[in-house]
Amino acid sequence: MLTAAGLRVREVRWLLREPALLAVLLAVAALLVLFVILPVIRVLSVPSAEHWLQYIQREAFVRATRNSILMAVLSTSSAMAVGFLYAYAIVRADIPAKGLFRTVALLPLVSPPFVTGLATILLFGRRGLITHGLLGLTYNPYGWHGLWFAQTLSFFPIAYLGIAGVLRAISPSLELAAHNLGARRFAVFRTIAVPLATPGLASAALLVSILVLADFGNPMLLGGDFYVLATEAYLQVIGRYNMEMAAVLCTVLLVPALGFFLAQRYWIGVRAYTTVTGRPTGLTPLRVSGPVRWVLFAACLLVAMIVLSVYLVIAAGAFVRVWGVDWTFTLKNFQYTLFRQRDLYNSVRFGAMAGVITAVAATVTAYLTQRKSFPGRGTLDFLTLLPVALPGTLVGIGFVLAFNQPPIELAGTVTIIVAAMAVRTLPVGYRLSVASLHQIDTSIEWASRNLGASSLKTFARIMLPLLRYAFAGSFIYSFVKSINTLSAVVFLMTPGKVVASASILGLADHGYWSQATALAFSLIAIALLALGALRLVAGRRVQLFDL
Amino acid sequence: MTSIHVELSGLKKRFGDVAAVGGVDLAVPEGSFVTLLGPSGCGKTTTLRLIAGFYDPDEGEMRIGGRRINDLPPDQRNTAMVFQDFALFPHMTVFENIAYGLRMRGQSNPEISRRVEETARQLGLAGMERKWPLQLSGGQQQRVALARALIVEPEVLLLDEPLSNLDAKLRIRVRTEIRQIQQQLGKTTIYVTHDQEEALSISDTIAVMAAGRIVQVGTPYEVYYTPASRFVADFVGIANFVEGRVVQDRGVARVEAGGAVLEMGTRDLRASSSVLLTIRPEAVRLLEPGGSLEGQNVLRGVVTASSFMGSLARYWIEAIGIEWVVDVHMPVPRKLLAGEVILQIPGERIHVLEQR
Repeated sequence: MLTAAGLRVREVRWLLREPALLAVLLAVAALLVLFVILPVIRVLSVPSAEHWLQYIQREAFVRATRNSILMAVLSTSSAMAVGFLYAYAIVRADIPAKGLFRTVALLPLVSPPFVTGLATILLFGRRGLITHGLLGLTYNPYGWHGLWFAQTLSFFPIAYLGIAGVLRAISPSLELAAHNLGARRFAVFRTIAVPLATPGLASAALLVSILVLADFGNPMLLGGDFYVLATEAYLQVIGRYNMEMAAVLCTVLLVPALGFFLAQRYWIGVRAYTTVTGRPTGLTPLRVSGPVRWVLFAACLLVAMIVLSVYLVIAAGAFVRVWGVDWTFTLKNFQYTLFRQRDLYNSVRFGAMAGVITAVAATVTAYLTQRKSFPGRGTLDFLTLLPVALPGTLVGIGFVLAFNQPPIELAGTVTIIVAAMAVRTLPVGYRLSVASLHQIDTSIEWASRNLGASSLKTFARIMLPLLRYAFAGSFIYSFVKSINTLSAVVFLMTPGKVVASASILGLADHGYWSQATALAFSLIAIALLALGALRLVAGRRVQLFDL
Repeated sequence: MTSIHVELSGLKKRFGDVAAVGGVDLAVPEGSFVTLLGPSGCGKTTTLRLIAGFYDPDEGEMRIGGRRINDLPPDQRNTAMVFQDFALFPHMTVFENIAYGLRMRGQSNPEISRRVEETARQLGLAGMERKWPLQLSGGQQQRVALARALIVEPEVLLLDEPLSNLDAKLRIRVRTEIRQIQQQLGKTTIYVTHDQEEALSISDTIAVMAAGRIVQVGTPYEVYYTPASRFVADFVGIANFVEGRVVQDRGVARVEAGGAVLEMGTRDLRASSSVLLTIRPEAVRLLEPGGSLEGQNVLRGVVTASSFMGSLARYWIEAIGIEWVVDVHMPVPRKLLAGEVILQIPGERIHVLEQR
C-alpha cells in the first residue's frame, strides 16, 4: 500500500526524470499564477474597509446592486422560458426547419453581445424603424425594459444550449420504460423528465444569471440611468479613477459567479444523473402530440424572426446614410470602418494572437492534467477553469491593478490586451482539449512510449496530430470571442490600441449609428467567416457550440 | 392448457428503405418461454418493441389473449419489459423503481410496500430497497429491472437482451434464475438475444430470425439437430456441411460425397438427387490411426489444427475434400492427436438440410 505522501514522492521522482516535462509544467503554472491568481488577489486586496462601508452606505451603489439583481432575475426567467421552448421544440418535438432554428440561435453566440442592444435602439429607439418609422411613436427604449428585451435575446441561446443538452442526455429508454410500466404521457413527463432535468435546468439558469449579471455592453448602451454593477464599476474607473471602489463592485459581482462555479464543480457534478446508462439504444424518445408540435413551431418561428430582425437591422444600418433620416444605400460606412481607423484591424490581430496562445495553452494544460500525474494536478485543473467564473470587468480591472506598476509593468502594451483575451477564453479551449483527449485511448500513448518515444516526443508526434481539431476549435473559439469581447479590454486600451467592440460602443454613444453598425456588421462577418473556415477544416468533428 | 396467448400475424415495420420486420408470424402459447434469436439487424428487437408499442407496425396484427393491441398505447398494454441497458430511473431508489408500475396503477401505499418487499425478497434484493441504482452491481441492477417488470404482473414479460451488460459468469447464473422465476410464475415470456447458447439453454421455443423474418420455429432440440436451412445450422452452434449425391435408395439411403459413401439408415431420399448434409462436431467419432477401418462411414483424415479447451478438444481435420470441425469431449490422451486420424460418422446423426 502506498501512502499519499509516498505517492507524492514517487510522482515528483517521475517528474525529475523528465526535465522537459517539468519545465513545461512550471511554465504553465507560472503563467496561470501571473494572469489568473494575481489579478484576482489585487482586486480583492486593494479596497479597504472604508470602501466597503461606502458601498453599503452610498445610495448609487445600493441601487446598482438592486438593479443588477433585478435584471438578472428578469432576464434569466425570460431567457430560460424562451430557451426551454426552443430546446424542447428542437430536441423533442421534431419540428420542421430545425437546422434554421439552430443557426439562428448561433448568431447571438458569435457576435458581440451588445449587438442586440444596438439593434434594439435601431428598431425601437427615438428614430427606430418600428416605433418611429412604422408606428410614428416616440418610444424611449433606454432603461430596464429595453435592456431586459436585449438581454433576453442575447442570452436565450445559452439557456437553449444548456437545456438541450439536458434533454438529450435523458436516455429515451427511461421514458419508454415508464410508459411501458403503465405511466401515461403526462405522468412520464412529471415523474421522469422533470426530476431528471431539474439539476441541469438549475445549472443552466444559474449560468445565464451570472452572464447577465456580468454583462457590460448592453447596460452601457441601453441602460440610460438604469445603472448596474458592471457599468457603475466602469464609471468609477473611467470617470473618477476610483480603482478601489471599482474593485469593490467587481468583488460583489464575483461572489455569485464564483459560488456557482464551485457549486457546479463540487455539487451539481455529483447530482447529475445524465451519464447513468451507457450504450445508445437506438430508441426514439416519446414525441409530443401534433397540435403541441405546431404551437411550439410557431413560437420558435416568432423567436427566430425577432433574432433575425436584429441582424437584418444591423446589416441594413451598415448600408444606409443616416439611420431614420436618410435611407439612401451607401458603402461609405465601410470605407470609414475599413480604411479610416485601425480598430477592426486591431481586433483581428489581437484576437488571432489570443487564439494561438489559448489553443497552445489549452492543449498543453489538458495533456498535463489528463495524462500526467504530479502534485497539484487538481489545482492546475481548477486554475485553468477558474476564469469562467471571473466577470470581464473584474479581469480588466484586475489586470490594470496588477500590471500598471513594477515589477511587471504591462500597461499600454499589446501583451496585456492579448493576455486578458486569452485568459477569458482559456477555460473553453481547455474543455475542448480535455474532451478530445478522452476520446484518445491511453494505450495509443503507451504504444508510442513502448516503442521508444519520450514523453515530449509522444506528445508532439502522437497527441498533437490527434488533437489538431480540438486545437483548431480552441483557436477559432478564442478568436471569435476575443474580437467580440468588451468588458475586460475596455480598461486596457490606450490610443492606437483601440479594438472594434469598444469603438462600436463609442460610436453608438455619440449617435453615429451607421458607422457603429458597419463596424458591428464587419465583426459578425469576420466571426462567421472564421467559423466557416473551421467547418471547412474540421468538418463536424469539433462542435464549439453544441447546438 | 396450451392456448395461444400472444399472436403476431403478418407483422411488418419499415424504417426508411429498410424493412426491419418483413412479415413476422408467431404464436406464443400461454405460459411458455419463446426466444427470438438472430444476428444483429435481423429485426428481433424491433419485433419486441412493436409488441411493447414503442413503434407502430406498418402492417399486420398483434393480439394478446385474443385481444387486438395494435391501437393500444404502450402504457395500457401491460407488457412490462426488461431493457438491455436496464433503464433504471437514476433519481429513484430501488424501492421506488420497483414500486413505479404499482404507483402508476394507483395502488395504496401499504399495498405497494407489501408487494415491493415481497418481490424484492423473491429476487434476492431484500435490504437494498433504500439504495440508489448506481450503488448496485450489474447483476443487482439487472434484478431490480426484472423485479420492476414482474411486480406489475404483466400479461406478457418482454426481455430485450437483458444479459448483454453482464459479465460471462454472471450471465449464466442470471439466465438460470430468469428461467426458474418464469417457470414458477408460469409467465408468458418473449426473450430477445443474439446468443445461441443463451437461447438454447433458456427457451421452450426458439424462433430464429434473419433479415426481418422468422426462418425456423422449434424447440431448442429441433433447432439444433434439425435446422431448417444452412443459415440456421450455421448460426446455431457449429456445423459441418457435406454436399453429395444420393447413390442408392432401397429403403437405405446412401450418399456419395468426395469419393466416400455415407450410409444414413432408413430415409426417404430421391435417387440421384443432390443433397446438402450437416453433421454437428460432437457427433463425429475420432479414432487414432491404425484402428479398424471396418464399419459404417469411416473416413481417413489429417489433422490441420487442434485446440484444447478444457472440457473438450477441438480438431480441424481435412477429409474427403472438406475441412471438418470435430469436438472430442473428455479428451482421454494427455496429448492432442496429430497427423493421420480416422473419422467415424454415425449415420443417424446426419441431418439432410436440402434436397434438389
